Amino acid sequence: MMITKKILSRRTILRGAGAAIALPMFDAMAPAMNSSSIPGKAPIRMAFTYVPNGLDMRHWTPKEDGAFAGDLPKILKPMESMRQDITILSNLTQNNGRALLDGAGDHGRCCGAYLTGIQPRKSTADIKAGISADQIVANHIGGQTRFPSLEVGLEDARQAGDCDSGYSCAYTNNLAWRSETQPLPPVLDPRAFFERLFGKGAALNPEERLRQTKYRRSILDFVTGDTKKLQGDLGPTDRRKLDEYLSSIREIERQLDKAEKDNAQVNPGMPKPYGVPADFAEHFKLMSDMITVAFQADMSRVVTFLVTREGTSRPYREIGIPDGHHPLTHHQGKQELLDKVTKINEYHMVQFAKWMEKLKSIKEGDSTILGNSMIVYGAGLSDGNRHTHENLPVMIVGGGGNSIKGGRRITYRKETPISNLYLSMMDRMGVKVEHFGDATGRIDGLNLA
Amino acid sequence: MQFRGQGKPSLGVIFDSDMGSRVETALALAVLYGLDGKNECRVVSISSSRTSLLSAAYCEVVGRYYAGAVSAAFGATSRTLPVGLAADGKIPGETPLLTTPLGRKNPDGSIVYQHGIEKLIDTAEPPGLIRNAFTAQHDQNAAVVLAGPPLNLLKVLSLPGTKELIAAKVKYLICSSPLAAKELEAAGWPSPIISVSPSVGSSVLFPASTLTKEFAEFPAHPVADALRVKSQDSPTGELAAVLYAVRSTDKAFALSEPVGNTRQLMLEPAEKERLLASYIELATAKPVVRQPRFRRPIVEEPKKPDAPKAEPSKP
Repeated sequence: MMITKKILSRRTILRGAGAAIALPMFDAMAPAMNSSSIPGKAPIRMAFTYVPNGLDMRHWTPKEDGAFAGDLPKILKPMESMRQDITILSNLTQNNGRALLDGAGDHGRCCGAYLTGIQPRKSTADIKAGISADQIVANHIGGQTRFPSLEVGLEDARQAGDCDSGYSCAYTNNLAWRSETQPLPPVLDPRAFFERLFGKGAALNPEERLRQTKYRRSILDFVTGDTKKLQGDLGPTDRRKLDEYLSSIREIERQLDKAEKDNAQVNPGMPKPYGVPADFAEHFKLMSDMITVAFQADMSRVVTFLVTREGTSRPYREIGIPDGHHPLTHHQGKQELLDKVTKINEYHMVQFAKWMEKLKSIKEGDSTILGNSMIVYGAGLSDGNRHTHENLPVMIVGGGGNSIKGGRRITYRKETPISNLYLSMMDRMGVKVEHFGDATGRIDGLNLA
Repeated sequence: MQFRGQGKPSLGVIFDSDMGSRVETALALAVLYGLDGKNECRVVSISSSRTSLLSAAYCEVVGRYYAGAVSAAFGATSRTLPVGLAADGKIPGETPLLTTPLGRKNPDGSIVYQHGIEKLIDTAEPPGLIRNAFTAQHDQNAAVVLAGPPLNLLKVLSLPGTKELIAAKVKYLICSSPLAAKELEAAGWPSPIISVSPSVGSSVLFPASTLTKEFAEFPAHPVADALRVKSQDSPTGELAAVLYAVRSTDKAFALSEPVGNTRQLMLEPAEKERLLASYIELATAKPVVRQPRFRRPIVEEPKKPDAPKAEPSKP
């Protein structure tokens, strides 16, 4: 084992004019002689990745309970190389997404209730849901990281107006709720997200921004001095780790530059926030790469990722589907439409799988970032055609710091609240909460045993 | 908030029992579905405190028999109502009242009464199921019928926020057993409680002779098959609990003065015959299969052959 000369603070930051870059966990940050072999030292992260309009459940659910046997279902296929890292949870229900006397508006309700466990108030102005599971965790442990939580999305961040039968767009366009009346809108613009993570403060000031743009300089150029100094303090393993980490940031910058150049040549025919790539897969990759860096550098341990807004009618021309996603999900059993829904579900999963592979590729102590994470992938509806709120599609990826055994499907009893899962995840994040939303307890069976 | 665009539906009934102990419970469930078929109430939750998959399976069989696997439980009307089943083992065991009807086979060896309950995961945990059923009812438009020990209902009470929910939604709880009523009152059940006086059940007996009369027209009937196990007349206290829940103004019933939060349900002696006729009519009612109302699958019509092209006119 390499014994480094001195112990680095976990809070070490590379600083330069207008830029500050947090660092990943180095061996040099653990006490000498112990370093990465210390079990349980790495932080545990949680993320919720939400896809809209339900899923084609025929191609989601593995046939048998228990360890996966044979091929994974069609939608899960992109996760094949990580089959031992995923757990499919069946029969979880979000009762508060149901009408419960409030009539139409399943899309508005299911997204508003998804992480809050509360039935959202049917209103376009006087919105009310509840504090979301991620924010409960952020409130408890957020002080240990630069950002208590990160909220990311790829589509629409409108917060006003009627997005579903009298339900405010605040319900369909947000996952995280800081309080019962205060949603946390996702960041859609990769450049804004990048600057939030690496700029000093929320963003570079206009002069610095101009200077950086003019000379097309990398943010890494601003921290060269600190980087060199740090390299001298690191052993060879940590130096390689630092190099990989800074390279990944540079790669994100290149993607951003490319996206901005590409955008200049594309007329989207609609207002588009600055910096948002026209290509969905590219946008997904950029945002997920930055979440990865944020996890790696322990800038935040709590993320919500609203892939597209609930009820979206976004077309997917890039995979040959010009129809809107939402209308397609009301397929009424027509095979041609069902096939398109499945294709969209697969397309989302391909992007997600690439992100998971990246998290798995980054070593952290004896494990990987993925091994120390719990990434939930799911939707607030199961059958988008009938708007069902039971047996939701739920997948949890990662080992939760060696506390979750993957490679299997666990089926719970009918009507088991999905809030029970959130309580179990909070436990693993070190946040002990007695009650949450409509939970009736914790879920069993996630453990290694 | 309650959605104002729809009229108030009929009373929602939550039925919890230890199904399998007495034939009376099966008859009470039949009466409940008979009332549901007349649109006098909606069955919104069924659960059993007997830790036996057959107990849940039998409840589902009766539900499917009467309601055709259609439920209005949570606003959805095109799916099977999940059955709640206690897994704590406090009331264990299978009984002939369950094994006999569920074991009945057709001449070709197939099971007569199909159901979907093979494992515990095919059932629901009663506290969450019952709580969720409350959440979907209008204020004071639900009744709870308890035909057995209060094990499940006591667990419902322990869920955070449920007492307030019950106080808002539940008009009354009717217990067929005075002991159960007492336990629930002691635990702080927040709605009025009605306890069926023991004499109510014993003074009107459901006749086994219905097997050769009213039930005889059904080639297979899961409740008749349970009644056939002993072929004896059955007390009707649980049937009274169900009927009172839905027809509380029926002249056959009278209530005592309250003691604490509980009143006793008694019978008007002159109404016994009419009451029995009601039980028989409801328990042997023909199933009314409701149609799913929400986005039924469209059966695509076969393509019509192209119209024959007109022959080109000959020069």
